Amino acid sequence: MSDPYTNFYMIMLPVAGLFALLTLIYVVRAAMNRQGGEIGGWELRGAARRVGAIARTTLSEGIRAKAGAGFALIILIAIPIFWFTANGDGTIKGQVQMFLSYSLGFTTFLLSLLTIFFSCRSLSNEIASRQIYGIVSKPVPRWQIIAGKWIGVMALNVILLSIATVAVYVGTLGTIGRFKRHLAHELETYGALKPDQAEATVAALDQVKGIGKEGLDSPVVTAFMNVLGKSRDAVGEILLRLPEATRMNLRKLDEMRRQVVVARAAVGVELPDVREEVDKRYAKLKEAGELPQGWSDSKIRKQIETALYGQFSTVPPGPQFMRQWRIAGPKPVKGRDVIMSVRFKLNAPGYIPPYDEGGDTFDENTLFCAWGIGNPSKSNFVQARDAYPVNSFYELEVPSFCLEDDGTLILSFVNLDPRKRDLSFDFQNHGLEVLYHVGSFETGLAQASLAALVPIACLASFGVFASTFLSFPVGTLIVLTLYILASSMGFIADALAVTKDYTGPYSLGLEFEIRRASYDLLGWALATGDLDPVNKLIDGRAIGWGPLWNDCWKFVLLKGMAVFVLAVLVIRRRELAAVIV
Amino acid sequence: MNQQVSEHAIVHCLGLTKVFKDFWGRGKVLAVDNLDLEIFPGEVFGLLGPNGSGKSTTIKMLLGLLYPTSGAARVFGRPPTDTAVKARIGFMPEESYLYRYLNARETLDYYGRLFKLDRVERNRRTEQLIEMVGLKRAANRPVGTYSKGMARRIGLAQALINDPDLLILDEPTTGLDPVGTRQIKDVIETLGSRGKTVILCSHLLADVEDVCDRVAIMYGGKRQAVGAVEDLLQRREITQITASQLEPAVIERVREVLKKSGAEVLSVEHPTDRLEALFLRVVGQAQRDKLQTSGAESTVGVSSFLTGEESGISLVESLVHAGQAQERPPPAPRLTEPVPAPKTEVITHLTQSAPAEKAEPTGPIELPSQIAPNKNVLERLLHPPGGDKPK
Repeated sequence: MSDPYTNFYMIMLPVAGLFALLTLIYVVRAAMNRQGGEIGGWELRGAARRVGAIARTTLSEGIRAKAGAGFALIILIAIPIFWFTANGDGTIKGQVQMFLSYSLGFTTFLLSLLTIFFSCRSLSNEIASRQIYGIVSKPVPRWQIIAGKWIGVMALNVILLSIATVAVYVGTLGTIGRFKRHLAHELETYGALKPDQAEATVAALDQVKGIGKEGLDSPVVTAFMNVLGKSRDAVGEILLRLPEATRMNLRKLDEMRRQVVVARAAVGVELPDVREEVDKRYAKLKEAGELPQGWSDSKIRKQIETALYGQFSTVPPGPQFMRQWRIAGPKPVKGRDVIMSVRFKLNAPGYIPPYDEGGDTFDENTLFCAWGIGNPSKSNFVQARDAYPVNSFYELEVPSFCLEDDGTLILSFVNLDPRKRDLSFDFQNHGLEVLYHVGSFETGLAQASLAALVPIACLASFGVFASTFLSFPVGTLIVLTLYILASSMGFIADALAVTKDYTGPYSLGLEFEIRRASYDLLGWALATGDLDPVNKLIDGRAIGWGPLWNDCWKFVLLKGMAVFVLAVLVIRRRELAAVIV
Repeated sequence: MNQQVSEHAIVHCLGLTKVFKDFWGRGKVLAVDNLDLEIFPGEVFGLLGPNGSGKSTTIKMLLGLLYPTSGAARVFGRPPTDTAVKARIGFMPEESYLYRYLNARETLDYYGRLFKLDRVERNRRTEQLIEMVGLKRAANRPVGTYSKGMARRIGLAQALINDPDLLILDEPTTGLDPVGTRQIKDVIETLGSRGKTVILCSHLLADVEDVCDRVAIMYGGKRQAVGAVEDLLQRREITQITASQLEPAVIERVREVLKKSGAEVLSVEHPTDRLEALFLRVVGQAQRDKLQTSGAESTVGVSSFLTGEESGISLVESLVHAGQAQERPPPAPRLTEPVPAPKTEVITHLTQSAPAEKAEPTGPIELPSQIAPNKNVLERLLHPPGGDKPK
């Protein structure tokens, strides 16, 4: 910190403080200066009817004034377009995942825009065109006006989102159905099956259960065996006659069954509590007099902590560096085909060349590792060894009998790659977790829709608040800007130089803290939702009613209500017949 | 327009002042200056004044649309921002600010819901009001497609949907054809005779004169004059006698009698009909002949729920209340056309050239240098005689 910086802050802070104080005085004086006399009561009796009336009118306006219809049309055109063009990696799994991602993502984006326009327009239009005279001269308290507007906006959103969700559901089933018909046709053509046999075989796909296995052990083959009454090898022979693409898609369809078109909960690895260790090392450094100069205590401790976590997450090559983690999950449900997956991402920087020696062939950018699932001393221990791809997510399915009785899963891992590369797990970003089935695709889709509705509800309350004192174009512009800001917090972090890249021994001092604090404040103020429903849905993750309720509580009930109260305060103060230019 | 005046004023303004400020808080316009006003229950009160005199501003302050800079207003004893008293108020703003995408029925239904009326009552009143304002044929079109007059009629209908005790009308007859004007006047008279209070704000003086009991004249935000219409308008220095058709000789003798008693004969002539009455007759005839119109129909008559002819308990109640406030029973709704005049009279009137003046409510008229007896005395007050003589 050099002197010019200190002087700058010594001048800027008092000046800013003075401005803040003057603004506060002005606001308080204006607020106390109400000449209107006391406002009448809450009028709770009959509130539902009045609020409902206002909501209905707002909704009619949205539909008839062609705004809602226009957006609905765009959604209904876009979703089929996505259905035809979503390809992903070309397999059926990729198609479905991309379709879900595009449709829901686009719909939520479009509905956010619609909400901004519509909510910012709702009141300001009525005030500007003086239709509000007709309402304010009736016995309607102002809070009911605001409530009615918000409910009307949300009603339109719920209708449009329901339409989109149904369309997405139908589209997904349509993609699967299309493949099934294609498969039936190919079974007849190449597999030399009779038409009713082919149909029955395809229908059997719905009965497939259990974890995925390679080749002839696949549960798909088992299901086919049961339907056709043939041996495993015979079924395998039929399948070999099908084109490679179809076989690949069959595999991917089964993967989808287990990993996409399903709702799963995830349990991750908890980072251990290293405080004691940090204290120990700090004390040791202090004794040896090796504390770095110019760093604050908390910074040093943070560095030590980061180093310790790094050690915990990194797995160097070699059997001596085996790691073991315990993940706590729910008690296993006996007697059911509970599928569990271990989902992980191996992080290894740089390019890893292919390996071909000593009878082992490993592809490029893969690392050969071994997983041990379950208690090694028990008979339900399962091993898996393979060259897993790095820097991308991979799912390993485990049978449920590997779980301990209390639901804990013990995972052992060792890095055996001869190319001698370190790899690490990013535990804080779903680097290693266990996924298990908690619901169906319908549940997951419904939860994703509801989760998408939460930020829209929050945006709607912002918009209605803006419309109480801003005109339509100004209000829309401001709320739209805030929405864009909120969506690009990552970029803003970079722009303000507060990301992890910028932290380190050189980023000390007041200016960094100010930037960091303003970034955090901006993020907190603008946040409209915590969940990421679309990404969760395409991974087959359930959002969970608990987190959903939590999100709803934080953003709709708390934040939304706070903004609602502000809006009511503003509209009560406002002279609706006054024109201020 | 006749009722006992109780001691408690329904509307009470004390030192009401409104200064419009700009964004920076600087006072720009003194719209209402220290207004003291009392309006008693059961009277029809007219608030008159030229454009920009503060009439609409006062009305808006009474409704809570504007807040006074100083002074206070009380409506039914409560401040204007109190929401409960608004259930007894009906407000017709100077322009009909309606929802363009709703049709007439839905508009009235919406406002009815805001008054917490239940469905049966709402439907009944909606139908009656739509019929009363003559919008039955246009009831299913969006209000945005209406002409101005039709929109005003819906504005009137929504002001009446809750059968208000206090009806506030801001420039009600502006933009209406004479039939509609007559209808509004009928509504006001009916409500007045039922003991309701009406506040009328206008610069169309002929209309105000016909219906109001008391008036206040505002100019520059200040109250310049207030009092009962008859008191203000009576010109005690002139006596007017109306008789049936007289022979010229009889007229001469009457003149001599008057001259002998010292009075000056100012004028002797045939009184003229008002253009309003002529218009109503012609249109009434056309309606009886069932000529088509796609605009508003001219109906005459006031919805039964407003005149108190309702079924059931509410009828008894309304009659009881009405009976307390007045001496004579409410008038039966006039469901027939106005006095049908034979067509020949129309032609006679049109071709009669004896009164060579154009019968218009406002506007300067050239006359021979005779001072014609005219009802619009207020105009005379404002325009000194000897020049323009509007009828």
